[in-house]
Formats: sequence, structure tokens, C-alpha cells
Amino acid sequence: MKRLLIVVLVITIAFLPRLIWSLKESKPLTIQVVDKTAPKKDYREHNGLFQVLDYEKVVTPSGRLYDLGKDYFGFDPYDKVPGAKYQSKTDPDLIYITDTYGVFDDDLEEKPTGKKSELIDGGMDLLEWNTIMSSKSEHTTLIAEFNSFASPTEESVSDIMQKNVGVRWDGWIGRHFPDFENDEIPQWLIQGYEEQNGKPWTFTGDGLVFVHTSGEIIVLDDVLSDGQVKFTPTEIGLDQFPSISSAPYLYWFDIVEPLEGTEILARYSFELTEKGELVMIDAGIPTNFPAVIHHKQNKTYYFAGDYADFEKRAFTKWQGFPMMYKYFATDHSEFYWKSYFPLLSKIISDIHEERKR
Amino acid sequence: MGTQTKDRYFLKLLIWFIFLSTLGVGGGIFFLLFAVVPIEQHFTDLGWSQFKIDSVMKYFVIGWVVFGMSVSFLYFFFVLKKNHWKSAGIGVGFTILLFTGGLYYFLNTGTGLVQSSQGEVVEGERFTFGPYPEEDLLKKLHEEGYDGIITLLNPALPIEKPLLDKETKSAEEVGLTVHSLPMLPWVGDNSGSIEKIKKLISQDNKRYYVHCYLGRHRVDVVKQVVNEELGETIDVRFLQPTTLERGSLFHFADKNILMGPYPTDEEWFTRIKRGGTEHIISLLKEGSDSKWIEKEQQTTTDSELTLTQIPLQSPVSSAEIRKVVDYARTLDQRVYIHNFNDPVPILMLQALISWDKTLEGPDDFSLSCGNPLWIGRKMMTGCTPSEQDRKLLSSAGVEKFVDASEIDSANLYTSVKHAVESKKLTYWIGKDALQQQQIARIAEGLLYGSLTRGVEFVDNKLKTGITTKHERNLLVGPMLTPAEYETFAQKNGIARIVYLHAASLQTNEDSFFVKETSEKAGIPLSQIDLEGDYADQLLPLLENEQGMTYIMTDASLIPQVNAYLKKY
Repeated sequence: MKRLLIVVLVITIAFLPRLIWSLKESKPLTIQVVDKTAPKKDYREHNGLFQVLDYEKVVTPSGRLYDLGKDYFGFDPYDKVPGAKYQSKTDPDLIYITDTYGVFDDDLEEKPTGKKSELIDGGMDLLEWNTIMSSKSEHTTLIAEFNSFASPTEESVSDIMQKNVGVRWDGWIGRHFPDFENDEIPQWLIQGYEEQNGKPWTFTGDGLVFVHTSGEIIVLDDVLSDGQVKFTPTEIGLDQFPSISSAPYLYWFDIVEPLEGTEILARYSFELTEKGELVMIDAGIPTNFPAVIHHKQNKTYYFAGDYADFEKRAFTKWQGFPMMYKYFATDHSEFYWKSYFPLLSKIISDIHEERKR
Repeated sequence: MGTQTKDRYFLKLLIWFIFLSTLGVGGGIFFLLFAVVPIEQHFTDLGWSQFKIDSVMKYFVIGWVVFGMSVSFLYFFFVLKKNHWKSAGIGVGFTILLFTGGLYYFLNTGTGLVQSSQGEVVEGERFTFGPYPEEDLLKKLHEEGYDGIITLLNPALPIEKPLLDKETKSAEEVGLTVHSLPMLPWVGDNSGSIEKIKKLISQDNKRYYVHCYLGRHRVDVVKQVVNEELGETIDVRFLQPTTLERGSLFHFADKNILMGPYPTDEEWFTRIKRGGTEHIISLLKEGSDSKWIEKEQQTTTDSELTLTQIPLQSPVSSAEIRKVVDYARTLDQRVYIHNFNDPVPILMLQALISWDKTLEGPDDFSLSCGNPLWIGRKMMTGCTPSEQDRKLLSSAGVEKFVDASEIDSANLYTSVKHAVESKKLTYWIGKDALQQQQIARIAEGLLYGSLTRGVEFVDNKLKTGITTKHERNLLVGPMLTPAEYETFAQKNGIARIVYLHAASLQTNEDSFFVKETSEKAGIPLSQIDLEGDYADQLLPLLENEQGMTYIMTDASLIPQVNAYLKKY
């Protein structure tokens, strides 16, 4: 009997976080997500967001948890066809644009080669953006992140979108690569670099790559930089989001300037050698620039990175687990658990609190 | 270990293996039919995404494997190892029975139990998807004109091989080709078969019935490939153009009658045939138009259009025109009436159809005080006519004389608008040539848009942008300032404003302001939100001729709206 009790106790303790999560108050919110870049069934471009929604126990107005495979507007990886365009809902609580880059033929291959191929569906068009903006009421929070308005969105629409989310983009995007010899380096990047410089891609080690809409490519290898892009909350950011921490950011980002009326909640910075800094100055790329921009009055956030893009599935229906992940996370996960997860959790909690009032 | 003990050990292992495999296969079949399929259906009914269903269903499959293994180990350790031979016999007997029953149902796909688990037949233009086809279905498919069967059954699975063999034989007998592209139901690499399916889709236009066993899982993969390869159907929409190379085209969407000049070779298809016209009434006459009559006969024959020739005399009379109208009204089909490029008969036709009356007379109609200006064949403007002139004008069809000399320019628009709305053939007395021109411009705008193919509206500079002329009665331009409602809109006889509201650039206050200003200027306003379905609202509005329509939007969006309209 005693043994049985011990077994029951151990099982109860083991499942306690799950139990606590189940007993947690749910947060009914109307959330609309746009992800046009879902070629695979992992839904990685919005998986990071839905994990936060699960952890915060955000439910639809009808009371069910948001479904990663259904509750978004964008490409359908099951039928391999473009999904429905954004459809207006009255007064949503949150509209989140995770990605509009789209799906290309090559993305549907078992092993994409990274070569440029034909666009199947992607980019934001004016009509869809207007629908988004018209459904955004004064209560609605709008979050957009890289890539919401870059290629293949038309420049004229991109300009409007930038204005609406309170940023100005000068055309540069960048990314940290852990290994320049790795297969993950897109073919188009290598080809572009080789064509531009008339010499082969011989980089090794880790480093940074910057690509401009004009086609210009800048590579900073480990001789010119420490290869790190550091995400650091600003003072204002820490005031509003005390639980977000600094972390290396290892994926795609864009270089944007804040428009009037916005505040910068976090910034990116690089550690460069003197020579590396000169290369950046020559190209007109700043070495310290905004990562999270917020317009309080308009209720918009712009995340200058692919933050919701998170491939791994975690135990997010277990109370307290994100704290554990935070301490053990490495690589891309470190940014996700230390910076993005607490940032978005707080935004969602704030939206819910405001809705309750 | 003695020989007997050793033999018994191997016997136990053999019985255990038979138990495990028969339980795995037999129980697996029933588990699939009674648990997996109904549960999956239940989740689908709940509206779950396929991703969520797949994520949950994999635990059922893993659960079954764990359950089967656990039961078999319990059987080995607590029954076989302890030499409970009677129980062992009952156990293995039961699983063999389970296996036999499962196999029977699996191989007899027509049984009610299996049918209840089968997916529905989904019929497409070239590909129909469904479950395993029995001989009757194969015969039916052949009769319905199918060219072949794409079977996804896998001969590597012992229970599918006999089904595949049976199908191949039956299909051969009814005359259908079987393409065997084996796929595995739950796991494994199916890329080889998918590639073959892609080739099959692109290499011919044949009709196929695609199936796996239940028609639920593997066929879904092929559905995705077909969707991906064949793409989507494009919805074709059409906005009737009103400006042809040789003159203006008028149309009445509700009356199914169009009229205008002789179309160019390209216009025959893009402007006439594409709009659904089936009948042509040609007003061309022998002699000067002979060359075109011959050409038209060839064109209409090639385009499968019915041609009726009703040559008009010169100068044309309203009685002649009425005959044409009466004939056109007897036709059920959409009809295009045309001459070569003389606008007068076409304007008379337009007036007769829309107002049931028309002005008639020579272009150089002269009065004692000077020559008046024609405004189509519905209105005229000129100097103060004498009694004799009034009689002459009345005989030309004028029903109403309006003295505009006392009307200031701010109220001129409203006065002309009222006359247009009352559908009276009107003679406007202008105090001077300038006012007469103003009246003519306003009336022309309100009645027709422009009778000079809209050249006067090309690149008009307004405060926040430039106008673009699309058709003689369709302009796209920037937001008007309050002053421009008078200096541009009223002055040019803008008959209505369609305001395309872009929520990304304009606020609700902007909408309110536009509404208020348009009301004040007396110009009808329609607001359309520039969103996904705006064409559904805009195109029906433009289908009805109502004089000049000004599509107004934020200046930065004009290129996008222009590009969008050009698609139609």
C-alpha cells in the first residue's frame, strides 16, 4: 500500500506542472496570424508564436486552444496550395504577421537546394494589407516581424506597411551563419557573392552576411567580427518587459529605423574589428540598430527578426517548463527562451489584462 | 539443457512469435477499422487541422505497437514460460482467429465493415480518388471513360499483394491500364512513387482513378501532388470597355445591347466577343463600306457570331434608327450594333434606347443667332433662339428650353444634373460662348463622360496627384480638395465619385469628410473599402453607364488601382 502511495505521489509530482497548467485560467483572445511561408508540415514560421499561446493558455472566443495547423492565413503545406487571404474579423485582440516571404517551388522539395525558383504564393498585396488595417481597431495590437514587408512584397505596398508599423527599412537584411561551409548557406547567396566579387566563396568558420535589395552582399567572417549578433533590451524595454534578457540572435534580421512616435525596446549590436567596422561604414550599415520597435499609441510592434520561426516542439503545456528551457537553451533556442518567449508572453498578458478591464 | 527442454524452449518461442504476429496483424486490422478510422473521423468532425490529427494519431499507432508487444511479453512470461499450455493454446488460437477474421475482412473490401471505414470517392476533372475498386467499379470506370488506375497498394505488404494481383487481373479484363506506384501507409520514403505520379500528371491528359486501400491516407498525398502540379482555376472577369479605336462604345448592361464603331481585328475578340456578344447588327452600307462588309462577314463567321445587316441611309433619320432598336430588342442574345465610325447614328441609338427619344438634325444645325453646340443627341446649347428658331429646335426634338444666363457657375452643375435626371431633350440658352461651353462640358460629362474619347482628361494635374483616363467615362485620380469638387468635378460633369478607401492610409475621419464634401457638391458618392473583395463591389458599379465616374483614392495608390483596372 505504501509502495503504491509512493508511486502515486511520484506520478503526481511528475505531472504536477501539467496539472497546474490545466488548472490555469485560460485567456480568451481573438488572434489572427498571417504566415505565407509554411511549405512544410512543421509550421516553423509560426510555431514559436503558437507555443507562447499554448503556454499562456490563450484560447479562441469559443474556448479551444489555437491550432497550429489551422489558425493562420497562408500557405497550406498539406494540400500544397495557397491558403485563404486574411479575412477581417471585428475588433481582433492581436494581429500577428509572422512571415510573408512565401513558398517557392524549391521549398516543396524533400530537400530544398536553396536555388531561386518560381514563387507559388507570397508577398503582401495592398488589398490584403488594407483588410488587415481596417480590421485593426484602436484596441487591436498589431505585431509584424521580419519578413513582413521585404521581398516579394511590392515596394509601394512595403512602404505603406513600414509606415503603418512605425519603421523605415533601408533594404538591408542580415544573418549570422555558424559555419560558412555548411549546406545551410543558400545557393543564391554564394552565387550572388561570386558574381559580385568575381571570386569564389572561400569563407570558413562563422560570421555575418548582409544582403541589400539591390543585390549587394557583404560578408564579415570571423576575422572581421566575432560572428555574433547580440540582442539587448533597452532601458525602456526593461522597464516594460523586465523578464526579457540579452541573447545572441542567430537568424535573419532586417535593419530598420524607428519612425516618429515609436520607442525602441531592444537593439542589436555586433562586435567588430576595426577593419570590420570600416567595411560596415563603407556599406552604410550601422553596427547598432533597433530590434524591437513599439508604437504605444498605435499599438504596433515591429520585431526586426524572424522571432516566431522556431522549429523545436517544447512542453509548453507544462507550467514552469519555459524557465527550465531558459537555463539549458543554446544556439537559436537561447534567444527564443530568454528573449522572445518572455517578451511575447508579457505582450499577450497585457492584451488580456486590458481586455478584461 | 536437455534436448526436450531445448525443443520446448523453441516451441515456446515459435508459439510466442505466432501469437505476436497474428495479434499484431489481426488486431491491427480491427484496431484500424474500429479505433483509428472512427477516431480520426471524430477529430475531423471537430474541425481539427490535419496537422493536429496527425500529431495525435501517431500516439495511437505507437500505443498499439506498445500494447501488442506488452501483451505478447505477458503472454510469454506468465503463460508460456510457466507451462500453462491450455491457456497458451486458447491465447494463440484466439489471435489466429483474429488474424483470419481480419484478413478475411481486409481481402473482401465489399464487406459492410470495411465499407464503413472507407473514404468517400472524390471526383475531379482528370483524377478521381477513392478506396480499393472491386470488379464492378472497374467496369463502371471503364464505361465512364477512365483510361487507367493508379494503385498505391504496396506488394511488399503481404496483405496487400493479393489485392494488387486481383486488381491487375480484373483491370486487364475490363481494359484499364494499371499503374502500380506503391506507397507505404504510415512511414517510409514515398518520394519515388510521387515523382512517377508527377510525370504521369504532366505527360498526358488521361483520366485516372487513384486509390489505396481505404481511400483515406495515401490518396491524400496524391491529392496534394495533383493540386500542386495542376494549379488552380483562374476566375475570368470582364469589364466592358467604352472606348474603341474608332470611337465610343455605349452599352446597357440590363438591356444586353451595345453600340459603337466598327471594331479593329483585336477589338473583335477582346472587346466584343469576350464580353459575351453573340449577335452583330451591322449598319454598314454598300459602296463606301463595301470593303468592311466583306471583312465583317468573314470575321463573324470565324468567331461564330450571328450577323444581321441593316444598312442606314445618309443622312440618317430617327425612324430608321427606331427600326434598328426595335429589331435589337427582339433578340435574346447580347447584341452589338455598329456602323463604321460616324458617331451620329450611334448617339441617336443611345438616346433612343436610354430615353426612348432622340434629337435629330445635321451637325451644322444653324439658328438665326448662330450655330448651337450638340451635346450628343440628347441636349443642345447656344444663343437665345427666336420664335422661328424655337420651332426649328422643337421639330428637331427639343422638349424643353432652359435659360441659363441667370444661373451662376456654382449652380450650373446642379441645374444640368436635374435636366439629365428628368430625361428631357433640352436646349440650354447660354449667356455667352464661355457659358455655353461650360454647359456643354458639364452635360457631356453627366451624360456620356467624354465624346472625344476622354483626351481632355489625360494627366490632369490636381493638387495631390494626376488623373488617369481609363475609358471615355472612367477616370482614376487623387483625393479632391474641397475647392476641386467645384473647379474639377462639377466643372467637368463628374456624374459620380467612387471613393476607394484604404485603411492602411486613410482614417474613418477621412471617409466622413469625403461624404460630407460630396454631399455638399451634389455629386453621388459610393465608398468601397480597398480590400480583398473590392472588385466584387466596384465592377458591378462600373457596368452601368452613368456618365463620368471618378474613382478617387490616395494618390500613392493610383498606380495600383490603374494596374488593377487594366486587368479587366
